Amino acid sequence: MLLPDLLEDAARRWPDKLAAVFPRHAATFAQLDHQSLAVAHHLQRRGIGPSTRVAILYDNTLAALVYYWGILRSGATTVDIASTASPATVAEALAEAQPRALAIQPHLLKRMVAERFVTCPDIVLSTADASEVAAPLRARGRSLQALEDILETTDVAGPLPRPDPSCVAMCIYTSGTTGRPKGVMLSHDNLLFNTSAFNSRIGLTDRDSLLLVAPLHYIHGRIQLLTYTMVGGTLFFSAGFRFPQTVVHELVRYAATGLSGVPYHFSMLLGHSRLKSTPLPHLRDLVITGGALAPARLRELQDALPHVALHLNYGLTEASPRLTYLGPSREVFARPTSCGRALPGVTIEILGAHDEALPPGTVGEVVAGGPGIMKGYVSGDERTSGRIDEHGRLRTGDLGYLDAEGYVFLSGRSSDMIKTAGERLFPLEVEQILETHPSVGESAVFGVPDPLLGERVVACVVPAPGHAPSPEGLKSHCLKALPYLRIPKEVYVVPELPKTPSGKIRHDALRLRFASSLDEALA
Amino acid sequence: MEETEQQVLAHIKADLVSGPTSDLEPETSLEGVIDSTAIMELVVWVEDTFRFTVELDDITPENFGSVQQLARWIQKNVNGRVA
Repeated sequence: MLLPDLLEDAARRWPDKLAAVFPRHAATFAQLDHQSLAVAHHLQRRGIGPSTRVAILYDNTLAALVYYWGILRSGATTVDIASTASPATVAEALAEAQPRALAIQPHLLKRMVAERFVTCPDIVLSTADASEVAAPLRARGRSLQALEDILETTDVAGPLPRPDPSCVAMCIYTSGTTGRPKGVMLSHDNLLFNTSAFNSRIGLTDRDSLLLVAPLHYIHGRIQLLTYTMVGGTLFFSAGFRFPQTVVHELVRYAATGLSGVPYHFSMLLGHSRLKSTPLPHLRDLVITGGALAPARLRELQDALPHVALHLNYGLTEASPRLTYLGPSREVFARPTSCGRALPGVTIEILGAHDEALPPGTVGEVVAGGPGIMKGYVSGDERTSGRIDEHGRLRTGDLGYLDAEGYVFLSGRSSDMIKTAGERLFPLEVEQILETHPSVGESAVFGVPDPLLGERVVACVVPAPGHAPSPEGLKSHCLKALPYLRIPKEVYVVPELPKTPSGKIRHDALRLRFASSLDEALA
Repeated sequence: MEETEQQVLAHIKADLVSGPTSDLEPETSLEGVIDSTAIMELVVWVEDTFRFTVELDDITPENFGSVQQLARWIQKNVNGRVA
């Protein structure tokens, strides 16, 4: 079985049911099936199929969905790049993945053209709104095709290739430890295993629907799309979490039965919307993923929505993504600091400093195995970087322990990854930018606990000789190259940074120092 | 009105938007331009700068959709207070 079979199957079983509802557009399963078939045949005629990649650079839109399914049905691999990524990050990802074509949202394409892009495949796919840049693209040897034309003119007769299910279906670009984006390669088998394993626990059916707040370019969005397509459930696409009260209005208007989000989303709903006073009789399931929501917040959420079942899970893009599940509510409140037990088929081990298996109750690195573990990184360094070990297991970089019944309790990270507002980033990405400023000699970036964001990005900088850096100036400097979410919310000028004997900056020591001074300030 | 518009535009360009900001005009949609954490910062800035409380129901795409929409809405609130 292949991923696009999920859509074909849904179109056969529920042809007239709404598959995707956007603020201004909607499509049934049959319409998505028909339109994506046209895209697949169009790509096939242009020489795109198995062993080729097609990048997608889109916000959540119907066109993005049609391109996604169309690319998969052509046998090609999708490459997801965040539409919010900086131009430099997009260029790096495109240069590494070498896609044969790029499906791109009109306003992003216009920006790319205006900024005289250097890395862009020859074949560019978009919608009719992008026609004004057709001429400059042609002048640079690229062809532009609008989805509207593809749907109108493509003959859908003839077979499409079917790659092996063990082949890579999707590459998803996410932050990497080196400061460069990492392309995580996931196969059809990886993702189909994950959707089935998760649903064996939560039990979704075609009576369920979801308000999707996550972007499709992240695994969180993609896996929701795959899961709800598998069960024939409708996805309502939220206008976005920028307006939490609007999300509450959407839950009411669509009568969605489910909402899946990261802790940041639920903190926003609890603190910045009228969730608590809005009747939501249709809502049945809340899935909290991508980090822990504090037990007090879980209780607050349950009190606000007493009829709703809470579900927690833990995962990583590299694991397709879910590894554990805890739910429904009575299970959650029996162990509110756990993220649950391994999904069927997933193994979770806790390893010590010498890779020895640790007994229950002892903290070590969480190491995961099973059919969902990625095929590798596009860069090919998953083993040399130590991310995948010699037994094929994923080194998560998360610290935690198992109890005697196999419940996982996470307690920190062995890597320096920062999770802020549901996004992950690594210090180097920000440090490299800070250090391009002439007043900065050295810098260290780390996350400190934040009640809303999960973690807040903080920077310490050591001045370059003869300079006196200004925190505001450095924030503005970072904003030139990084999205707002990733710029340090606080910048401290310090005389020196804590280091290991070999000279490496100790981010852990800084994290601890600033987290405890925060605790003192709040005490 | 125009003064408020310029004030909002200058703040957004300087403190909330990543990368080149030269093509950001008062009527440009802020969707995909400023993220959810920046919207919260913008709300705090509006409250501090124009001295009125922003209600949860007012943080909507209609009021915060573009600099022009935001300036118009700020002006309405400021005028309402004066009246």
